[in-house]
Amino acid sequence: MKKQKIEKIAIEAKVGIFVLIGLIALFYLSFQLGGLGTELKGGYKLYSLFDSAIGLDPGADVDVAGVKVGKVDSINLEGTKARVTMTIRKGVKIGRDAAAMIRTHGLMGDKFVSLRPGDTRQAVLPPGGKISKTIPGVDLDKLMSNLGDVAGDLKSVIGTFQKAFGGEKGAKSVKNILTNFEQLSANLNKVVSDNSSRITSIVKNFEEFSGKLHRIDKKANVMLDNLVSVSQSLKEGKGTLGKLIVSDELYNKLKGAVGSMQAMSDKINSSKGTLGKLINDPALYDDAKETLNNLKVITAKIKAGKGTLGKLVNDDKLYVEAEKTLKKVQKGAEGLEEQTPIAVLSSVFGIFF
Amino acid sequence: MFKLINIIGLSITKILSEMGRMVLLFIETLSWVFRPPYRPFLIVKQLEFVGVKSTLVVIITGLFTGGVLALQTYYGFKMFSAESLVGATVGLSMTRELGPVLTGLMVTGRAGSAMAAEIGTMRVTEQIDALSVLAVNPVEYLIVPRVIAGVIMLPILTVLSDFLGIAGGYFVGVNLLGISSGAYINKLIQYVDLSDLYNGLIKAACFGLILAFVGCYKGYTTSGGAEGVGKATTQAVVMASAMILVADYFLTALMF
Amino acid sequence: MIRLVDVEKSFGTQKVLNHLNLEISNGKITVILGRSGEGKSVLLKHIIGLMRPDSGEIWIDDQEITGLKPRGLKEVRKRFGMLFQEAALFDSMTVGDNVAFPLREHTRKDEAGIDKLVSGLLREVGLEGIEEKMPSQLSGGMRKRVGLARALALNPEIVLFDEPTTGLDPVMTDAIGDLILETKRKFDITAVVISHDIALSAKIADELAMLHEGKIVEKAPPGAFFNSSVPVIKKFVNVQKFSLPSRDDELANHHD
Ligand SMILES: Nc1ncnc2c1ncn2[C@@H]1O[C@H](COP(=O)(O)OP(=O)(O)OP(=O)(O)O)[C@@H](O)[C@H]1O
Ligand SMILES: [Mg+2]
Repeated sequence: MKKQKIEKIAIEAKVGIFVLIGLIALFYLSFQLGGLGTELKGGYKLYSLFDSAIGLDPGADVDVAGVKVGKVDSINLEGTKARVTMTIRKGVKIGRDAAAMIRTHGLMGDKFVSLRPGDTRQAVLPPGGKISKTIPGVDLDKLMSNLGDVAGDLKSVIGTFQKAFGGEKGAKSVKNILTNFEQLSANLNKVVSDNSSRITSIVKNFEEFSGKLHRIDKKANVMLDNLVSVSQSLKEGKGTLGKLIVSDELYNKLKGAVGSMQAMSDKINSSKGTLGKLINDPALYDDAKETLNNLKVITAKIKAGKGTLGKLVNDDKLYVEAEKTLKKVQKGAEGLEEQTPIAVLSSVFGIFF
Repeated sequence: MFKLINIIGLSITKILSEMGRMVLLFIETLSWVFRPPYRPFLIVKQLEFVGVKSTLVVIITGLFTGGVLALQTYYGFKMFSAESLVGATVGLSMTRELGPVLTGLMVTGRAGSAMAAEIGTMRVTEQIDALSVLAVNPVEYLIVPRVIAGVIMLPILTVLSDFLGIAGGYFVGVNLLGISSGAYINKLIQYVDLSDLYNGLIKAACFGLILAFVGCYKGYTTSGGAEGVGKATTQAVVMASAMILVADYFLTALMF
Repeated sequence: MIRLVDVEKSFGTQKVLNHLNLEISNGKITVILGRSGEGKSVLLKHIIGLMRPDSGEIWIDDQEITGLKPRGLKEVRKRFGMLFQEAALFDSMTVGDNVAFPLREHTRKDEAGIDKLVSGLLREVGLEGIEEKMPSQLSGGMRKRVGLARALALNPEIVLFDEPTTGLDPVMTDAIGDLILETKRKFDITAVVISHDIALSAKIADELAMLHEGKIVEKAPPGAFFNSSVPVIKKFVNVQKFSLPSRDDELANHHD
């Protein structure tokens, strides 16, 4: 029976060692798996109201700049919004102007709350605080359904196209469209180059106009000067007018005159009348500006040797050739003044390309 | 026709009466758990038998289950280039399901069957009657220590199985398939909660209760000599395994 | 006094005890004879409460035991010792532990005292110094004697012997007979012995009873019993008597 006692102790020891190993494994796993859980113990809570917390689960991560800082505790309905309460690790500061967003890991991953902490130098959210700014996350379901709609639309469009362009007839019409398009662009080109002289004249006119305006301005200056001298002589009581100033009648008449003058200037101000419009209508100014801009672009193009005209201007070889050709053509083309450059260019292009 | 109804009726009453006997024995077993006499040494002996002696089986199943999980899920996740989730999958599967269930089934095969055979032999050789005659309650003496050992040891074995499964998965995933070790561990820690581990252990305790009690019940109600012992052993394994899987479903539905 | 009144017991359709009535007096050795499979072991198990009758009463002194709850039955059983037909030794324990078992369970003796008692009991059944052997290492006869030592360990008031000498050589049979007589003389026990051995019965019995077809067909002191006119007894006695003078040696081995 002594032997049995030894055996008994041996069994107890074995069981003890076994249980010890089991407990060590348990503590190790618990420690590893519960790592963040214990870290969050001293953390504080924040909440946010989202329009939709679809797919977000309690326990989901909360991160700042991709670094996990907490977990979602609970998701409840508050009114018509989803109140998402989360625990943030102690020491992580979230500013009052922070924003929360529900995002997804990858295309099919878990949802998590991403925080943009805002400015944390001054106003920091206290425990229990509300992150009032929320950025609606990309709702994958919605996206999918939209994508579905788009795909449907696309399908119907393609269907129509297929109907329109299907078969030989369709191909032909496509060809036609392309040819038309080609022609259209050629015409467009032509219009721009044709009207270059006109545009120049418009600008010239405009310049003239502004010059005139300048002159008017000068005249007005003279007028004002005169007025000043008149009023000066009036002040001094020189002449008949000066003498008449004392008279009330004359004052009243003058007052009336000043009033009508004011009305006139009001009219001018409120863009009534030709002068007013000229002064006040911004459309004209804009038009002019646009025109100038266009001109700038065109001249820049010309300078850079782009476009036919540009090449024509910048390329010496072309110039020489063109001169020759032009000279040849000049005589015959006199009646067709406006079409000539294009025709010449077309033939030039024909030579070069 | 009448015969058929008769057979159906008989088998139903048989099943019901067996269930009733099981419940009664279970209640009796429970009633003895917290009542003296306590038998620490018998419990230690059963702890050794159920736990220590199952270590090798659990090591092998744990390691290789974790390994094969990593291997299988790796090729699946690779299609989505989400290989880093292998660790999380291994961790979740092991702690929630495979750790407890496989340990339960393996220990059923090893210890549950042995319990049925041992107690069954004691029944047919009148050792259980001898216990009664010696004024020792056989339920208290034979069944209670085994059930206690099952409930205590299964969670511990399951922790080992979880641990080794994760280790096996790590070896296959990181060393053989080339997943980064950081991804394996971090995703595992990120996705596996402490509650997963603990719920798995609660499951394991329930499985321990099932396998030990069913083994004891089948042994205790053995009749028919050596052949009866053989039958009881087989039935214990089949019944305990089935009950573990059924219980697993309900426990999972209840807990997760 | 043990009194069975109108006891009935059936297994399925097989009626084993049929309106059986029997009185066993205190302080006497009562031997129950009967053909194999007649229900002698079943009768003995009824007396100690291992089986419950379908109907009838069983009285131990002035206590009716068929309606007793486990706790009451346990108290009654503490007064009993029983030797099972197949010894029913606990085969997970050594011989020493088997004999010490009732002492450890029901006495507050220290290990040294128990050791001394155990070796004394084993010496009495002629098996000195085999404490460390396992039951599986013993012959059938040795097991039976260890069972006897275990049954006598607590000095019970009533001892039930189910075929104490079956499988023993004649010398040993005689020694066991002496042991029973000795125990009775020392501790004033009431003994119920089941035996097929006419010679042993004649040697130890104060009363003899014949179980036949579920009933006690004769109960008398040896003189009257062996001269009974009941055909079963006549046949039973005569078969063994004729073989007695010439083939003494083989008697013990061929009786069944
Ligand atoms: N638990 C049981 N279930 C079913 N039948 C039983 C049971 N125990 C005994 N029997 C039946 O009861 C009858 C009597 O059995 P028992 O063991 O009492 O015989 P016995 O008189 O002791 O015979 P033996 O001298 O061979 O030991 C037998 O026919 C046996 O089949
Ligand atoms: Mg018998």
